[in-house]
Amino acid sequence: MVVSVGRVLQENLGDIQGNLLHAYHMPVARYAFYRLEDPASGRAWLGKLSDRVTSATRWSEGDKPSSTMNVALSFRGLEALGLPTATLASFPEEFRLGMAERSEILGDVGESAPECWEDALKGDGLHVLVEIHAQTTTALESHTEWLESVSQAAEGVVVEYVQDAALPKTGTEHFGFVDGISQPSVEGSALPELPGHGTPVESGKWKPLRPGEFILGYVGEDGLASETPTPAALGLNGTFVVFRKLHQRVADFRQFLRTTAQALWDTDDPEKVELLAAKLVGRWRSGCPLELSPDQDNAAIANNPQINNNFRFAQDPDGERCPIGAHIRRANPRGSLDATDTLVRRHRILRRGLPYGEWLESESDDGADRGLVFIAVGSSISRQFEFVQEEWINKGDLFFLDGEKDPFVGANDGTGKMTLPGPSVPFIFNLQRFVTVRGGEYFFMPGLEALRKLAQGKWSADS
Amino acid sequence: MSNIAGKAFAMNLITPIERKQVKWNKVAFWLLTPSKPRNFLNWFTKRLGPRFDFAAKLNGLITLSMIHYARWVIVKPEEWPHLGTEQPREDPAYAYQLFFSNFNGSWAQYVDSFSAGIPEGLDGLWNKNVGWPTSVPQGPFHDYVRHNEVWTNYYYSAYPMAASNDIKSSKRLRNELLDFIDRSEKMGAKEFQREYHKLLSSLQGNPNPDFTAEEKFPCLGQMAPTPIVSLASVAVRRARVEIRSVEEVHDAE
Repeated sequence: MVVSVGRVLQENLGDIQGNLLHAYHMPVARYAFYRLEDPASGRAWLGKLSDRVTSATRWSEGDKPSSTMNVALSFRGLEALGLPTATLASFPEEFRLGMAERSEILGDVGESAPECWEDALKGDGLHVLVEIHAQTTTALESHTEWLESVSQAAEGVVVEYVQDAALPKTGTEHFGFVDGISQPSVEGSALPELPGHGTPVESGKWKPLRPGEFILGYVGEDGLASETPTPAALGLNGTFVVFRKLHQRVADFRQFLRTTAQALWDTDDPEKVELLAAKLVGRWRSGCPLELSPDQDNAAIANNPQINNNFRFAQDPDGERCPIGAHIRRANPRGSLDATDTLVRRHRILRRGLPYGEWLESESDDGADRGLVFIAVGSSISRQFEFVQEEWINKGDLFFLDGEKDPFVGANDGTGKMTLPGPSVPFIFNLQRFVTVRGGEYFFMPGLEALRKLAQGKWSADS
Repeated sequence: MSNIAGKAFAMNLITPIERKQVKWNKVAFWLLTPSKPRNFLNWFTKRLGPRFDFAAKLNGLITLSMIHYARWVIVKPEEWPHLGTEQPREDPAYAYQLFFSNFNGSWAQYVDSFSAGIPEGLDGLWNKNVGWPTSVPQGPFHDYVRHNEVWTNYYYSAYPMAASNDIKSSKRLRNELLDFIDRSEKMGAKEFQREYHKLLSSLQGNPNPDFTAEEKFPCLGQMAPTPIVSLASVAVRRARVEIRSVEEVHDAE
């Protein structure tokens, strides 16, 4: 159902949950998953939480809270709240099926297949996701204490799984790259529009994406309001959130860089190792894009948000600067499929999330679990996250790379290949899977008013 | 079996047209007859109008190069098969347009690239078809395609792992290699290595956006199955159910 074509996003920030349109930029987080055994007590518990859920209202200077909380529900969770069949059926198919059922589309095969996921993450018990973000560990613990006391007091509210996350001391993700530089800018979100974050338009400028791409009930890039479940008020100001626990094989990745540099250039000189790493990703570890500095890292570019995302691949059609199959070029082919991204703008995602686990100090693997809590936000999981994963990350046909997959996060199996355009070295061989999926689920993150009404049982079949 | 064979996807759309509209649409088809692909595509690009710049125009074609082929046919009411006297004569209220295409990539990618790349061309081809919502915005267009899509009962491909782009690439690779073999016969080891690397670099770049210059296709990608063979979720589950039921039949036997 289509509603509110002319709705203005900015006036509704107070009803949209936080960390969707604007990242919190907090260094620690906890993702707690709950199973609801009884609709009525589940709703009562949700009602208590809803009072403390953080909205997208912008904080003024010095006003940033020490911790925040957000709540989202999986399809099983909506079922567990007792929503009637007609309402449940109005949610998109991929959301109803859940992530595990979509594994083939996502490339979650082999070691990433749902059969290999962590037990607690592959069951049907992930009903409610509660995210706490905090400035400090102390603030995180104190918020958790409150959550625990409320949850323990509620009957039939069971913790299924808890995942902590924290930015490693390097300030990067575990492979050593500064992450999260490129995010779509959103019309009406009250965020500064940095060059390179929206859609390229002629004249070299960038246009923010329309809010319906990311929040339900608003006009999207196709000129129509994004579809919402019914009743429309349930969907309004809500969105879909993809949660994935991605394990990173840090020692393998580092080893691969060294042996491959050796094979390509007959040296494991750090400069060459860094160049190779940058070619896989499309950015130097600092975040400086290859497109702007193809031969060496450049801190001045990396640290300047006015510059570090301001480029188009159309300037580099052969991929001699940034290979056509590099991670950031696949994940957002900005300007390279067509000049104004008509084939791209309906497939953008907002990325949230944080690394988990300790930074690997040693050369060899220490057996510890480390990786990334990957969060993708969008008004259509199938059109956005799944499409990117299927067509751009794990296929090469669109880029004339045939069976090649993303060298960094793709479903490679040790025989993967990457074409490295340029005069010196044509290919990288033996790409393996550096990132494996440990589990995940699709969630619906309702607007605050909708969350309260869900908690009151306004739409439930049994109340 | 299913709409998918290896990397290829088959799509059939049957859409009603007013009877009186048929002759006009036939004229439009005649103008569009893809006997010469170049003319056909040029026609599309001209239709895009001035709001698309040169690069955008040609880049739209890159995506279209993933299409093995597409065919549009109008079936008049009197042309429906009549297999014998036992079959009652029918008098359908409408004529029908059959669209039949094989392509690489997923349903969503295909439908979207048509709608984004050649919206006015589509509006011309489905001109006055009953219920045609126009190709943009995409939501109603998707609904229209889904509503009128007819499932393929049996789909066979002799070369299921050869995408349209793979074939173009391979043809170029073959020619370049044969040429190199000729050229290299008298080369010394050093010259051979230098020329060989030059050959590799020249074969690995992005395609020249000129769709007609087939020799420009890069051709050193990896011809291999992808883990996901472009399935719409419905197709995934259909295939699974079919495989399972086939296995059960075998087991029972």
